[in-house]
Amino acid sequence: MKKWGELALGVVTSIGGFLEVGSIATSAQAGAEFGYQLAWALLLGTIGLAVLMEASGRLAAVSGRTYADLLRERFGIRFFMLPLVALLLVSFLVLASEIGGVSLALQFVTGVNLRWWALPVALLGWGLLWRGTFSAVEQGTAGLGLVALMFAVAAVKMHPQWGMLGRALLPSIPHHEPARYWYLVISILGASISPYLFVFYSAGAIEDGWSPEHLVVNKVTAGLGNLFGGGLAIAVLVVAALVLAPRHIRIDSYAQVPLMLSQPLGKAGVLLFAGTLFITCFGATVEIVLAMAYALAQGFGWPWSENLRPGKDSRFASSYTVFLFFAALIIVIGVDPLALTNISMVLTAASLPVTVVPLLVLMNDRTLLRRYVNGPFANTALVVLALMSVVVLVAALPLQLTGGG
Amino acid sequence: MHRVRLASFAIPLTLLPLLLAGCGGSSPDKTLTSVSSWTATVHLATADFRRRRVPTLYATELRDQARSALLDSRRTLGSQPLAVDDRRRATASLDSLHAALASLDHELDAP
Amino acid sequence: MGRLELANDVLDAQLVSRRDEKIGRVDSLLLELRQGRPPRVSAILMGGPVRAEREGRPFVWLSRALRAVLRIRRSGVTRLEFAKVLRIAECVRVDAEERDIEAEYVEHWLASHVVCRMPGAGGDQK
Repeated sequence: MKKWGELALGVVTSIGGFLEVGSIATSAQAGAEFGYQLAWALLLGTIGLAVLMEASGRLAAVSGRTYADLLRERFGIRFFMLPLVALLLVSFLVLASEIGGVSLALQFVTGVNLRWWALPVALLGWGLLWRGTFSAVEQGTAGLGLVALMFAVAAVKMHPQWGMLGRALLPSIPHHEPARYWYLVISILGASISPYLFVFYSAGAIEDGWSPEHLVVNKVTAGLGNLFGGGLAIAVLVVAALVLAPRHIRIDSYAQVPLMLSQPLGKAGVLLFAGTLFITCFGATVEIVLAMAYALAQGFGWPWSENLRPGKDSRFASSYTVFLFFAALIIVIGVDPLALTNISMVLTAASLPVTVVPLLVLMNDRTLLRRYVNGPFANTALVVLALMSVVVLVAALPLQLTGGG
Repeated sequence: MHRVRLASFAIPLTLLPLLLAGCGGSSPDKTLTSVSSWTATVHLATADFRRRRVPTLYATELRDQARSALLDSRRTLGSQPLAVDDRRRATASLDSLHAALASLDHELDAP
Repeated sequence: MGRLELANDVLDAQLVSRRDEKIGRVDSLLLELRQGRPPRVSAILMGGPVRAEREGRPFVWLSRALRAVLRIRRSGVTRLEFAKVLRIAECVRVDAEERDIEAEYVEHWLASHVVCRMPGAGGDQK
């Protein structure tokens, strides 16, 4: 019974957890500029994330060790600095944009400029991490995240052409602006497959005391949860395609995004959007900053756990405190959240090779995983992802220069 | 191992140009696309506000953002060397956005 | 007789005290060279300066610069005699207490001067 409860919770957490400021922005931009055409990139990102999360969850459940812990131990301090620096740099920017997302939501409903909200939002996140257990953090926004289902309702109400959408789930060549098209593909992949997600997920498996008995829960949470979540991102794309694209409205500011919900949902659309943005971005904020603190603490062997009082893991608690404060400052000084989101998604995609390739190596280590090592299907999927991440790294800079918004 | 040490710096050095590229400025075409996009946005917001599909607070914020985009675009296009036809096209685009904002202002100010 | 590979199984492994507290990682190993006898592993080294040496010269400079700016006079390096190793498995358990580890100085300082002065920080479990 308990396992079914864990399963349901995991799926619910993933549904709302998939959407955050990056996936909302990139999906909306894709829909507004290319209609349904980029739905395949969202599907690819979703499947990629599901594969990586399942792998990192299995690694933790079977070995009893987190991904960051094993990265340091198996690859040594010299190599470990590579993914650590990349993860911290990129995650810091994403963290700032998520705080920006929460602050924007508050601006939409109060009229008070988002720069005033950034520090209070960071303080709220900090309070939850300082006092809350891992379960509180994980489950706190889980049920509330279901408000994101309003995108699915909005998409269905707009009567999309299902056949066309179905065909758009297969890769296609752009009809116009190829540089912009491929730039958005990379952004979508960066928004979907974020390394902080599997660092957080593997640490969470240890916090929750997972063992090999949880492998089914792991598969269902990673697979089904992300598929539903990816479906919501596709719903965002569909609504943008049906409302914004015919009017040639491109998204240059986050303020334009709620407008696409006024057609299907009326006045409630803007309010529901603000609620969704608040909850999903707040959830992402605490996840990202925890992932950063986990990576540092596990990599350097510090005491760590969200279930310990901060006095027992001072460096871990101080890390997330400092990161939150400085990330909030980025928004306070006036950096535009959408511009920050756009660049951080591309950077995330470009940094994937240093986190995906080591995972591929670890998932084939029999001393760690025993009979639970990757089979041929899992290995093929990870190799494809690793190759894709290298292509993305090479293409990221030219596409940012030619297709960046 | 020496290669790995070098690679530790390769990652930030690769990501840094990406970060700087993201901070780049706009070309006239990009600016004009943005202006016409904002014009369409304001038209949609005006129509939705008339039909009570968006709250007043949000419509006001959107108007302020659009006005800010108009001012930025005027400044950007004003500082760039443009051919006569392009200058005429730019002026017409900016005037369209200005007119759209005036309509939205009218709706927001109406009792 | 069991086998261990120093690089794979000991270097960079998690260190825990006799009370299972995490106390850092094996940042380096010291070999004692003995005249006329084979070398042997004599100690585990831990701490930022030790890690910086392995990471490379720029990290050594960074470590020295940070220590100068923050006026840290302590060495930050702990040497644990290899004879104190109790068990090597998924982590390395040593016969030492967390408070004896010089390299954990930052943890103690933060706990007593910053973290524990804030509400909700004291106690063990949340």
